[in-house]
Amino acid sequence: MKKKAAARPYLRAIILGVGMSIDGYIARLDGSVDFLFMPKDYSMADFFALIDTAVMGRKTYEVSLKMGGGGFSGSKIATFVFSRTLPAGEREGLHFVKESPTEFVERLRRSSGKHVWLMGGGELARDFLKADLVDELYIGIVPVLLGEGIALFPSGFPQRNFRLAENRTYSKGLIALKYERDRRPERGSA
Amino acid sequence: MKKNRRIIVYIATSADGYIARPDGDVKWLDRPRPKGNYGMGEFFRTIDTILWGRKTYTKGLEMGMKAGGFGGGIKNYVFSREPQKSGEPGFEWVNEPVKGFAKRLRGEPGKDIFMMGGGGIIASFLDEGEIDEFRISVIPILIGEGIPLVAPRHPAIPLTLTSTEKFPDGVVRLNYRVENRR
Repeated sequence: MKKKAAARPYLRAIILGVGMSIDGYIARLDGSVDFLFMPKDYSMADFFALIDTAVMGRKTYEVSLKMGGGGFSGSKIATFVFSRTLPAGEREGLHFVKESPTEFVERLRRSSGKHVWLMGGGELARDFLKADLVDELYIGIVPVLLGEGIALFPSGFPQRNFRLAENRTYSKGLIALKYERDRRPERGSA
Repeated sequence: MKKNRRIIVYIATSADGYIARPDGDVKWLDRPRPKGNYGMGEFFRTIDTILWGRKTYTKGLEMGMKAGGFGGGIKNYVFSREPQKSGEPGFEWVNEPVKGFAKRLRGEPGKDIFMMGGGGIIASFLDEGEIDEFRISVIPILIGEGIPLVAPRHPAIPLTLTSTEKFPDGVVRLNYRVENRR
């Protein structure tokens, strides 16, 4: 019997959100993401209402610094940067952490709050997937074949099943898919 | 009126964009089929020809595929740079350039043409402007690494989304048109 999944069966869901090409690349080989676009009819506001925490890897943090960003200082979103090399602690409105994703999520869930946006990059996302900490997956698919580029994840985590929660089409052919982690044991495999 | 024959990539990918695991394995596609089998029967009524890359064909044989298994009257072509190895009945070996082959095929009367893949032959046909549509079934699964939809190529190709379909088991089909200037 199929039962509709209960909405948000976990406290403070970890949401991985990424944009990619049809053939599964998040950036060109040189790291540029000029093919990504934000359609007029798409708004991040609903998403930002869900979260109060953002998490990224050190390399993604450095790229966002170069682009003039670097977290959400001034906003109410607590931003955590995972790094093995940078010292842990709070600096410039950011929280630098050295602990494992599992320890981090356990600690985070001891206090109440909203959901958590796992921004990437690929290596941090892979580590979260490996530890099976990704509860929801939001994928935006841009209507282009890149032919080559940086894959969504570096290899090295076991297969993870999801269930589709929502699929929407925006202008200019952007597809938005929302999935929830399906942690039931494998079905149908003999 | 003579209808133009379209060459259609009809394929499943994981949510992270792969058509198979690195070794070609597609066991992750083995899942209970929803009623209607994703409209595959309907699709097969619109085609009369299947194009195979050599590796995909070999994998198919390993999995027990037979030419007649796709319905009667379907022509199967296997593209390979190597000379033909096995004489599997019902599969015609092709090693001529894509352009000439596609032009001849399109010139013959018939139904649409199913491009089975894999990534290598899809890329070769794309390079020559000989793919008309992609119909991609996105499976709700991450496999982490594998064979990409299109073998590595330089030019980025924009596609036009024409429609989407959602199936009860969470598979989403994305239908795209390639804007070729053939």
